[in-house]
Amino acid sequence: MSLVERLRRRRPVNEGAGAWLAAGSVALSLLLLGGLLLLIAVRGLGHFWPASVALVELDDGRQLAGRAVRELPLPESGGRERLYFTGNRDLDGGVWEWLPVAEIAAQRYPGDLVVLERQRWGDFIGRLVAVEPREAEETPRQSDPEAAWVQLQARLAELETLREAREALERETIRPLARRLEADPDDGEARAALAAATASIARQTAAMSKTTLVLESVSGDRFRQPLDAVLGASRPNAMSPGEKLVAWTQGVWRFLSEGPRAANSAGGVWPAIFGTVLMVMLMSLLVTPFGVLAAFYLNEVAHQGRLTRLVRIAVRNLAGVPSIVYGVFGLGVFVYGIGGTLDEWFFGDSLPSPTFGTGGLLWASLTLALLTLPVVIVATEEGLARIPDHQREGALALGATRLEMLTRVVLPMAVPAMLTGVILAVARAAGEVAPLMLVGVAKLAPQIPVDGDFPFLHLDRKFMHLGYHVYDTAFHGDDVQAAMPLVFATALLLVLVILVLNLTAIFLRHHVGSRHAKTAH
Amino acid sequence: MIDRLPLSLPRTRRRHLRDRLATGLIAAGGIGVILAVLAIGLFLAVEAVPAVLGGGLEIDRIRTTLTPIAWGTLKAAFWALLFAIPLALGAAMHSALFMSPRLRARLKPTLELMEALPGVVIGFVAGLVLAPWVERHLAETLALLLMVLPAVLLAGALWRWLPAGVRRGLPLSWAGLWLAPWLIALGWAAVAVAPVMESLLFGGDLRGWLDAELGLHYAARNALIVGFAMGFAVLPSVYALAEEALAGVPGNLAEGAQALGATRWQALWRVVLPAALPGIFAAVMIGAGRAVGETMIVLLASGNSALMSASPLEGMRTMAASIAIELPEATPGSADYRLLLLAALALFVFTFLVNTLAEVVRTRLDRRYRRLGGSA
Repeated sequence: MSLVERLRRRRPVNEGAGAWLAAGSVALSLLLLGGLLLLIAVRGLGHFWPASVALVELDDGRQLAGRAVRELPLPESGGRERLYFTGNRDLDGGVWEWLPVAEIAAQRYPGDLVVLERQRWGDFIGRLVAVEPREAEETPRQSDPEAAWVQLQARLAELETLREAREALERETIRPLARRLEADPDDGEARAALAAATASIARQTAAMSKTTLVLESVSGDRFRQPLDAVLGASRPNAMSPGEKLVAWTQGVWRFLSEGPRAANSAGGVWPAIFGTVLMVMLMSLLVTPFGVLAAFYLNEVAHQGRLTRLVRIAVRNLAGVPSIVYGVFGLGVFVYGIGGTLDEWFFGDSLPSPTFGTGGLLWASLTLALLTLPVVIVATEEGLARIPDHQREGALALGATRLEMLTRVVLPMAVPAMLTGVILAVARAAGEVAPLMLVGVAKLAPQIPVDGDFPFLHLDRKFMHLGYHVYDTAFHGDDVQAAMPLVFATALLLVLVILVLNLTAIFLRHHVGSRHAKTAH
Repeated sequence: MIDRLPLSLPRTRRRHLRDRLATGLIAAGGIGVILAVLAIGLFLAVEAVPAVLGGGLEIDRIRTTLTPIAWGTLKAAFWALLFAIPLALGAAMHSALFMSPRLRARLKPTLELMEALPGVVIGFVAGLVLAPWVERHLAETLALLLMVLPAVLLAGALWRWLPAGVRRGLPLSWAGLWLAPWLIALGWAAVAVAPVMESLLFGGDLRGWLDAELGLHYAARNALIVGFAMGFAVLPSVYALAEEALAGVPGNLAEGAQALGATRWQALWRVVLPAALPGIFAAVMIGAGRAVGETMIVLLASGNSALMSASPLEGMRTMAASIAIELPEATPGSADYRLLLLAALALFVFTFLVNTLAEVVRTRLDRRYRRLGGSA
């Protein structure tokens, strides 16, 4: 027996190419999924990390400061070029700069480079020269940047308290007064109070705009920046990792709690989070009772004949009908049909501008409730079918009526299955965007649909939605490149919400499975 | 006992009355809900069909508007399925018959989570991250695509010649997991080698070569990108159904085949797969239904130009995307509006039929499995 033969004999059975290809497709699927999640997580969370700002000196003596974003090979000469985010849109019109790597003479990270987040013109990257009152017109003497930085931080903290006070005043005094005036235009007391409050706001605004910053870009352009348009300042090169972590946490928090700025390309997503959650909550309020009712009817009441079987198949199939079709239905029936009629009956004086005859919170929730109804019905029915028949028979044998049997025996046992169904429905609804494009999301809805005005919850208003926010910012934004990190962060948030909901549903299902296994014996 | 009976009678009657009332209410509510759900098809038919039959829409107009987007829909679905079906079926075969039960119990919920990923996120990554990358790195992409098959086969061939100890550490039943780093490593190598290959084979410019030699114009957002992204979205549902069908085949069939000397793969290919074929057909049908109706991925990754081109390197516009873009602007009752409703009706009918077919096949299959399992 030759060596090769002996070796071969000790080898395992050859399963052939097919078995390996099958294993490979599992590996590839997992890789794709992991890659996608990793990409979203890294790009979404990385955005809030205060990245170092490089001071780049070119061969021709030009200087610029910015964050390196990416590097690509040059198509022609074979070198590489690097993309920098340089900010300062008000100075040079653009925020991006491609530089050939070969032309970069030196790259340093000086600690005095300042990054300012501003309301207009986006970020500023450069040096802070001085903080001074607005009236000082002459060009400032060369002052100490360190002192200016300390001063700036103190002023920014003051500004923050002023801003909060102003918002509180607007929210708690001005809006109720305006409402009173609207109801009764002759209310002199309210008018006087409103005038006083407005004047106080004007005073505060004036106080806020008292200070200007003298800024200098690295190429030497000097200009003045009113302090009240500055939202935040940082010196990323001078920060320790601990400080960066704190800044990162603050960045994440502001992303979650603030409204969008600069045509959705900056700021936070709070209204979108709120809109998504509110819509999903309304939807689950609608879908739970109806879905459970239909499941109980199909499984417990209806005669189990051919017709019921057909209906069951049809309901199951509706879960596979594309969501956009539900959107069309919602638009045609809810918005144009029911909404149009409601407008004619109750809101005739505001026509032709529609109240309910246009997409809004109510119609969106209804449409998504319809869309997720099959999910709830199927899940609840599965739960009902798992309840052993002897439980029902036992209850009936003890003299319970059918209603008593259903409410006291079957319903409690079916609760986990119902919950699973509702959570799956919520997870599906939170990720659906296509039908919402037809029945009621807005690109930018600064007013959230809940406020102090009667009836507090405005079902006719448009609202913002996380998924639509991703679509709109990525697809219709002016500078998609600049908005990308925020889109990634929003996408990450959406995915996280949906993953958590799904994990809850999976956990519940396992829980249900084990409980029924016990009761069955 | 006997004299207490008359006392409790009215209460019993009330209980029964309440029972009948409640049952009636449940029935009415249930029927109402089901009718409301089923009303969708009815609404679309009522709005769109009379306009077509009654001459409200000219046939020519229908043809010129709907043909390109119907073509786009089919093209997108075709490429999506071409990508998703082999991968999903391969994964289903592996996890139903080869995979270790421990890994399988983890893998199934993972892929369920994958199914829940919102289309808008997948579409965004495909359209704004993947498409520009592929456009810049055409050769690397080609190398990655060509690398996958040989890499897996190579792994299989090498595995047989590994020392027994190592082999025990890397069993086939866990290959779904340990092949992933291997694929990453070889993918890395493929990307590194790609520029060299490009300059050797295609004169350093694959895109120019495609244009000059094959006359293919490369658009950044094209059918391949859409197919890849949508395949990714469709894969989990196809996998779940196919896996269910394969795992449901009574075990004694495969055991019998193996007892007669078949390898596990032969038993799968010759015995289990034919038995589960209807279930796999159902899985593919469900996948087709999803691919046809998916909106956000197509909207973000396809370029949305209504082209009638068969080239996989060019974009398209699908029915779902057309509806999402145009319907909010169309005046209710106008010809455009009705045309879009007609498109929605077509989508509805198609998916409904396909799903019904799949469901019927699946129910039949279940019965067959029960018979096969019972007769043994």
